[in-house]
Amino acid sequence: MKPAPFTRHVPRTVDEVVSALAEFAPLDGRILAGGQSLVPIMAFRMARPAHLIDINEVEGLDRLAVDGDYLSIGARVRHGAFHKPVIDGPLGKLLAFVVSHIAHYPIRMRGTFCGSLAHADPASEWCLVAATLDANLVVKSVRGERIVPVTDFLEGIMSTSLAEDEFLAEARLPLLPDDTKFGFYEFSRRAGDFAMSAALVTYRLVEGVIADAHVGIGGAEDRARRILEAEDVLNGNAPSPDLFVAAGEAAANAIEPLEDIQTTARISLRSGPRRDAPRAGAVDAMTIHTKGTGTTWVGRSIRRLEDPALVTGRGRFTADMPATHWVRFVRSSVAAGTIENITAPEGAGIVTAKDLAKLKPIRPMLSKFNYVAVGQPILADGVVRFTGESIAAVYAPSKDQAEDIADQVEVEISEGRTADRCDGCACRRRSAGSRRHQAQRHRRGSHRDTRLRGCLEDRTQGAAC
Amino acid sequence: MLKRARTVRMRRRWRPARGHASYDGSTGRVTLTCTTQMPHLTRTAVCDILGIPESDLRVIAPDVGGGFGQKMSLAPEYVLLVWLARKLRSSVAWTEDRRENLIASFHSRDQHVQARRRIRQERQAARFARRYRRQYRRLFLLSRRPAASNP
Repeated sequence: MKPAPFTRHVPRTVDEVVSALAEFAPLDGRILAGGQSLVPIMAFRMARPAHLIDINEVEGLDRLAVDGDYLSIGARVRHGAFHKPVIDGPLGKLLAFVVSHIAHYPIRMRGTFCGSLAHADPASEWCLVAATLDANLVVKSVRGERIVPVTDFLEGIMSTSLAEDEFLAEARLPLLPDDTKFGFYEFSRRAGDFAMSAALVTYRLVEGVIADAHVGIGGAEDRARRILEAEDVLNGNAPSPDLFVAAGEAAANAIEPLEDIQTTARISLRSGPRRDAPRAGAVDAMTIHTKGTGTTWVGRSIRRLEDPALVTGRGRFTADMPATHWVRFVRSSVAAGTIENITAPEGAGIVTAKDLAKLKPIRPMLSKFNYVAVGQPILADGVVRFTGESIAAVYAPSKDQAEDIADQVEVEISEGRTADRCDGCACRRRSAGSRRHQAQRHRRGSHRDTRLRGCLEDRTQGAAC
Repeated sequence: MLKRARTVRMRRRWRPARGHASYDGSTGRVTLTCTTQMPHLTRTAVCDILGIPESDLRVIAPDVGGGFGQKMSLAPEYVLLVWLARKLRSSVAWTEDRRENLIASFHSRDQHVQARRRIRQERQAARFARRYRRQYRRLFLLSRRPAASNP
């Protein structure tokens, strides 16, 4: 939970920023503004830039003002700046309404508007605002300045048209005419979560009919964008519930939602577990001997004894205990493969499967359903069987040192086939002797009534099972 | 007739695993403090794996923050902590980070299950499907049994 080593540069002017970028961007340099996305992923070492160019001291980048017919938002302007309307008129109100949907208060006080655009998360509220309102973005580098329309700027999931040596210095949002109406709706499971989807609509009413409609959808596709099909439905018509439903349907038809983990989650949410007979039986079993006595454990409020200590800071937790050595595990980055070589830095305390040769594997204790127990080694021995399997453990006097050493351990793995496809019973498909043996055991022990030949194929057991 | 079922990876711990093993030089005993829900089974299993008498290991489950399935499996990491504490004759600690927990934790992973049987009548097919669903669900619940490793 600590970033890999990096060098921080603190320029004071925009010129210094662009020259630092020109110098360090090719050496894996990144701009640091609010750091609300970059810093957490650095802590997990998913990002490990060698140089950070911290723009938080740069003069002028905190400018937030109206220039002619647009609102200029400098690269240091935080989300929190929009909590109250920054200007009179609908744009100020719109930004103040949208900002309340961005993450949580501490994040809003640090994260920046431009940083959010440059990060280009498909679910970002500011990307949606910029795309819906046709923002222009001012991009600077040593080569000069260019102004990029947002449609050319956002290229996909976390990807923009920013060149390596360029940074987003300012965003320009067109002011909205005073008669503009707007609506914003975001769907997320909990307040502050990333939006599963969000929509922003603005339009004007001219002589009773809708004009200049902007309909934007974010979070659903790889980038936020205007949905012209829905705008066509709105423009030139008088607002009515039916019209809005038609526009919504047009928008729904026009987008192709991203397939991601949330898509599945949404489907599985819909079909929750049903109360079934065994569970009802269990409840009966628990209550049966108390029937008629007036005491039943089920549904009864039980006095909690542990709370006072926990809420007054007197809880005792494992992580608080001092230790002489801290352990960090080196884990596999692939799902299946053969370990060819493990190289540790000079003098590092490291444990590998070789050291644990005398230890038994962990054997699951399960006597049901013809379960074939497969031993799990403490550390991967020869083969890797799932992503994240521990290959080695390093120990050092502190947690941070252990993390750095673990990072320097090099593991060579020749990648193998994963067993996540299950086109037929794996037991019968493969010809290995142990396989056949297992299949026989399945058959012998098969249920008398149903003759259920079940084979549990677990991704993790791929190589061994 | 072929039935397929699939469950996705589940992570059952809102707070990542932590372990601390300390070695007592005078008695040679190790005390393992860890985020488990079943210290006695953990002791029995770890001692069996290491080949040491159960009297040489004491397992303490301190405040953890609730009960969740993942606390009922034996983490290979805990075994290593005890082994290392004995080897170094010193105290060793491990704190899992959230990313490790999400990707690598020793709990329910994706499962693909297939079952096949020959049937004669429609009614039989329906019964099979019902029974299959029930068996599968039960298997899935049971696979989180104590000291079972279900990585």
